[in-house]
Amino acid sequence: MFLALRDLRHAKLKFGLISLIIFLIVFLVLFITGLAAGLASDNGAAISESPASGYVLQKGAENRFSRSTLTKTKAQQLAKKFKQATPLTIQQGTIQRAKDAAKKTDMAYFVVKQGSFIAPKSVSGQTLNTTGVVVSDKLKASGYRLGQKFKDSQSGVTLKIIGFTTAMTYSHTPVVYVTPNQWQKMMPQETQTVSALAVKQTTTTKPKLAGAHLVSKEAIIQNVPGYSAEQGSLDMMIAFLYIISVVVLAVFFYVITIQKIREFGVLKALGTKTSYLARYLIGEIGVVALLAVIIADIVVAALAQVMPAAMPFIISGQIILTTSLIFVVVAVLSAVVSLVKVARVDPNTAIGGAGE
Amino acid sequence: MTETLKLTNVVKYYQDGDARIEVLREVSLAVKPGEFAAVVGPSGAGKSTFLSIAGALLRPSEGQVYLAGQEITQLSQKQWTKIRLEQIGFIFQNSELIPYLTVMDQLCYMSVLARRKGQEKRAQELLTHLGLAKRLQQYPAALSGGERQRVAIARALMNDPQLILADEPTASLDSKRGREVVTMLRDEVHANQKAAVMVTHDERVLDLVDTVYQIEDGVLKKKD
Ligand SMILES: Nc1ncnc2c1ncn2[C@@H]1O[C@H](COP(=O)(O)OP(=O)(O)OP(=O)(O)O)[C@@H](O)[C@H]1O
Ligand SMILES: [Mg+2]
Repeated sequence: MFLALRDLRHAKLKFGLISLIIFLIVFLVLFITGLAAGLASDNGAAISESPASGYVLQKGAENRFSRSTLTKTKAQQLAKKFKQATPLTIQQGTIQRAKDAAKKTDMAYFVVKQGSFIAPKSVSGQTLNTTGVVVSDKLKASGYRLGQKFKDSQSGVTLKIIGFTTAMTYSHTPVVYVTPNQWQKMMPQETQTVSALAVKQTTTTKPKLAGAHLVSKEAIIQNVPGYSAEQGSLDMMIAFLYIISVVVLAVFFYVITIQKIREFGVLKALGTKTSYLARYLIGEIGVVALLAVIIADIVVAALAQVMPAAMPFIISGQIILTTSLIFVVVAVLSAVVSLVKVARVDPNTAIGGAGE
Repeated sequence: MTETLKLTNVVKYYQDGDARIEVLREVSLAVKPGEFAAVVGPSGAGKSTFLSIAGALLRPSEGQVYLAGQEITQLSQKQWTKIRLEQIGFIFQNSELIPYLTVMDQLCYMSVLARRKGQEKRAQELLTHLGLAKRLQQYPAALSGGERQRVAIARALMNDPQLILADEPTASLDSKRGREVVTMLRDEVHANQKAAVMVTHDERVLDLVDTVYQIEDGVLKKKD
């Protein structure tokens, strides 16, 4: 580290700029990772955080609730094949407050039996019962409060908020949990059907189901409208950022190494081992990358605190740590090409003023 | 007394297709402790090649190289690196100081490499002795050509080597500075019983050395 520290100190500007670039890339990766996680949660929290392990959907529904209908008798028959199963209907809709009729809010109805294992856990207010509905915390941002009444735009039925649950969402819209009773009032024509059956399964054996099939929670999330496309593009961006950073860093360090070839020849002639030079180079890169990554981590952690609710951003300390680690490793790996070059430098070039 | 550097019948040739380019032919020479030798000759005569072979940087095609009685001709690159570090002091043309090390650190680096601790005092003494006491914390870019070459001499002496090899040390200096540098080198050699070989174009400094060798077309001869 004798050489590395002195070189870093002497060429502060050069290494500062490289550090800045690594910082920007790491920051971007962490930012996109946070956004991806935020969007994922925003998209399907009501499914991913539900205690249900899977769902029984109508055959041919392609893992989508919107395309699945089961008659209540059919649902009851199917339910017998599982230890725990309860009907679930999901329907996207719009609601509005009496005072503010012009401002409508998109949301999703989850029709669940009160007391069933998929009934929402209330954070404030009462648990779901026939006197009213339990809604997602997200609705608070649109001005909805405990005890307030609102109207279903389509049917005109009025519902009262008796409890708030966590930020449950489905396809980026807040979830309103209603009981089958309330649902019947809103949708009198649909009294005989449900969308699906939520099940909690402990065994891995798949029971035979006529005209229906069991879909895992993960497959449902993948098929929440918009989810795959969104996550796919974000993952792609992250992958490209990694590739870009490897290439950019490799080029940077290679150029720096090329500039120093003559110096390496002299150092070798003076009796420096190649392994010492390799450690010097890796040490230098390691320090530059570590510095950049630490600053990026701090900035992202700070940013996570101040991001507006409208921009879902979720990042855990563990993800920050893993990403940082990967980056330092990537930075060091990018030096490999340069190390090969250093190993090939002939100490004899120092004699005879060669290379001029 | 064993010679510090001894070359016996050293031949170096390069194969160029069928043709064989002979750069050194049957070169023999011996330099004793306390002896300052100079090698002169026209461009392309083989001076740098000779120095590389004497300095454990290039393997001869034939013949043997001895350093303080030990044959080093066929040692591995790794062993050569160790020998260069501990037993040979190099002074290059254009000094070749490391741009991001201060004058003090140029010397300290040598003891760091050799894993010798607490050598700061020695570095300071050497530099003071060579008239660089006021330049210890400066970078090479701030030094004059003569000062840089004096730092290079101090660096070559840092690990107390038996042999000093200088490759045209005066090439980038005016004649007055050139003489100063060579005088300092001579004084070191004589005072501390080092052996030194200097390759040079500069005929004006030859009065300062003990032995002069002339090399022409790869043949080395002692000049009287
Ligand atoms: N790798 C090589 N392959 C082929 N020929 C070489 C090689 N290295 C050196 N030579 C030849 O050996 C000869 C001697 O080269 P050397 O560098 O030793 O000369 P020199 O006396 O130091 O010259 P100068 O005073 O110009 O530095 C030159 O003709 C050169 O072309
Ligand atoms: Mg030469």
